[in-house]
Amino acid sequence: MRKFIIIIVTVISLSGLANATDFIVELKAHYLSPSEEAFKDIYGGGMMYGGEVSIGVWKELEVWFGGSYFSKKGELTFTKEETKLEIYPLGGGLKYRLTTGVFNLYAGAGLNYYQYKESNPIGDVSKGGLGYVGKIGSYVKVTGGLLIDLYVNYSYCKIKPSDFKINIGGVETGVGIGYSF
Amino acid sequence: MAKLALKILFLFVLLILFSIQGSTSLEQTNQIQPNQRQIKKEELSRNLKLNPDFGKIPLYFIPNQGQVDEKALFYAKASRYTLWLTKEGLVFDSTRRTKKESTHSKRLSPEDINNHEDVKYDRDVSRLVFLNAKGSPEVIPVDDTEHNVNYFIGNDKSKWRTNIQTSQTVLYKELYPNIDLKVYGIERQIEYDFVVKPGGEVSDISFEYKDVKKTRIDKEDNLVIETRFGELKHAEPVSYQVIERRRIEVEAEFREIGERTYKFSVEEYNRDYDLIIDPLVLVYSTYLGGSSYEWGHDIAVDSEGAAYITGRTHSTDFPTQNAYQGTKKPVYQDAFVTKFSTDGTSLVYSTYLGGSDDDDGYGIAVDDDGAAYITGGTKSTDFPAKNAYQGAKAGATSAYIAKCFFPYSLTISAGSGGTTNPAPGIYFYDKKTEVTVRAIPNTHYRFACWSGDISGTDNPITITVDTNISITASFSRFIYSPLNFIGQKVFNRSLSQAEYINFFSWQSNPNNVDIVKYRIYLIEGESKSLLVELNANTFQYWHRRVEKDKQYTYAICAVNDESREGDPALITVQ
Repeated sequence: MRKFIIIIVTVISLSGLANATDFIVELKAHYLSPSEEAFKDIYGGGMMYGGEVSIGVWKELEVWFGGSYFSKKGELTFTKEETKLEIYPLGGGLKYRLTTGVFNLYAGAGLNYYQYKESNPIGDVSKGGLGYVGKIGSYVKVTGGLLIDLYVNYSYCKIKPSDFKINIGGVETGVGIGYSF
Repeated sequence: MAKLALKILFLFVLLILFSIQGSTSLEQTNQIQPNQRQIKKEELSRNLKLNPDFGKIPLYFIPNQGQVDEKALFYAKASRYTLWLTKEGLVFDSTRRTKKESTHSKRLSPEDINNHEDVKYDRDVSRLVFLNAKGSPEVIPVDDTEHNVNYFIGNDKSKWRTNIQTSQTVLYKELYPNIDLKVYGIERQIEYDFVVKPGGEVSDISFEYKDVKKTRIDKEDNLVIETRFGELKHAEPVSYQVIERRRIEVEAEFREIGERTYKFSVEEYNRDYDLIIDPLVLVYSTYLGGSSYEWGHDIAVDSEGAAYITGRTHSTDFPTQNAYQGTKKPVYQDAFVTKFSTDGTSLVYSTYLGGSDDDDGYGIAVDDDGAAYITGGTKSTDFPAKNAYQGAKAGATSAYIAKCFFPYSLTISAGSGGTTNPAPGIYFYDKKTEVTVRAIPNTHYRFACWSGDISGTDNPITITVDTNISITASFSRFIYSPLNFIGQKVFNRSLSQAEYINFFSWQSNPNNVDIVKYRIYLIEGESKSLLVELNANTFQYWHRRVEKDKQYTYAICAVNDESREGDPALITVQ
């Protein structure tokens, strides 16, 4: 957690160098396709909703930070009783954006802190863990400062809530709508 | 007159005794009952050998030397009451024992006497109080018996009383001027005679009944006392004098002088001689006969107080009941044998005994099993002989002896789900016959218990028929164990949590009915603990968070709508 805070502070500090015209705010929605087999079996994939802010810091380099929310119900493997999972990733990183007319491709990476909560007849668990995320995508300018973000992320967060490890990340394919100032 | 009344009161008490089971006494009586009972048993045993007529056993009176309440001067214990003799009068202390209500109650047996948990008591105390009598009459024992009694009460030897002489009679001397009261009795009847000596006045005798419901003089001049335990009838007193060895009857009657207060009224008599006033207490008095002629020749009383009579009858409509021979040939006379109930209100049995000529019953005796032995004479060639030593009449008239026994009944019933062997019904046996009854459940049923006069779960059960007995075999539907009870240890997880569970499944048993739930027990060594109760529509269950490498044993039972649990099915899960 301390590590995560340091990263966030760093990102915010860098944002102080930003050019006011390279400031993008967007709302995002993507579908999470989990990597972990158990995740797939118990909950399957699901939509995540969140937001992100990108700030140009030097030439095509931008700092981003954002968060999202995932909530899904599933069944325990044998008893088929209901179980509920909630994930709150929050993090930031850098991305490189190529400004090429209507389409502005970008690629980036960052760190996320994954807070998750799971409730079912076995018990209730609420823990967190640090993971990383890589992302590629493209902003599509619509009109004025309005833009659409098409992106694919890959996230990874290995945690050990019990005597086994699980990865609560996966491939996130989504779309966002933003405004560039 | 008052003395006569006292006699009557005694007689009333005796009557009460007839309808009372057992007795208690004043406060200290419970402590002395075992001794008394032991003595009484011995006495009864000795008397029964000599004379099966239990009702004629004399009472014996025990002086109070501190072993009972100080108000009592003497007392006598009969099987159904205690008579306390006090300065003020006579106290009749009766207790009726009844069985507490229970679905599995046992018949009241001698062993129940001190079993206060199963027996409840209903007590009635009636008093005959001497009015205007001498305050402290001299009360003395007369006619010592051969019985001495001992009381060992507590650990204080100073309170022990040993070798207390008992007597057959207690005399109240000069209860009234020149009038004595003599109290004596037999097992079932207390006698009390007022002896009015020369110079005494019958009119001095007066007495009052206390703690009774009601008293009255009926149309026949009998004095009727109503108590909680029944009605006692004192026939109008018999009064007489013995003058020069001849008994001279003197008319006497009760006279009511106040509420529940009486005197005797007698006609003129010879005042130079003693006058005996002897109230006669009648428990019952009844005709017995048909539309023609009857004569009673002999009577016997059994240990229960039931009277047996034999004689002869010309009536073809003589009252019969449970008769061995229900009709007689016309014209000729037959012997009859009749047994009355103890209260005289009904016939236990009554039968002709005779053939196509004249027959007569002369004598009757009763053994302690209630069998009646009749002897008489017969002219009939077809006298109803059975198991005969001599099967045919030899001369013009032959003597006969017959044994009549009205057997005790054993009523066997079976509840739903089974039967019995012997089959349900009413059977008759000689007294003390041992009968083995087996309960036989139908398919899918099992024997539960016996109820009625005898309870228990033994099967078969052997019953000694020493009275009329009724028993019922109860059955319960067998509850079979569930079928295909299987289990396995499995892994169960969510994304971030996991557990091992023992999972079971089973099927209902089609032979079961009215199953409302299942119970699953965890068996650990010799003990079992209830894990869960599940409704009857559930056929699987998992035991959570079990240890991965531990072995578990479980039992499952079906439970019916009476909360009765069936046989278990077991399983071990590794």
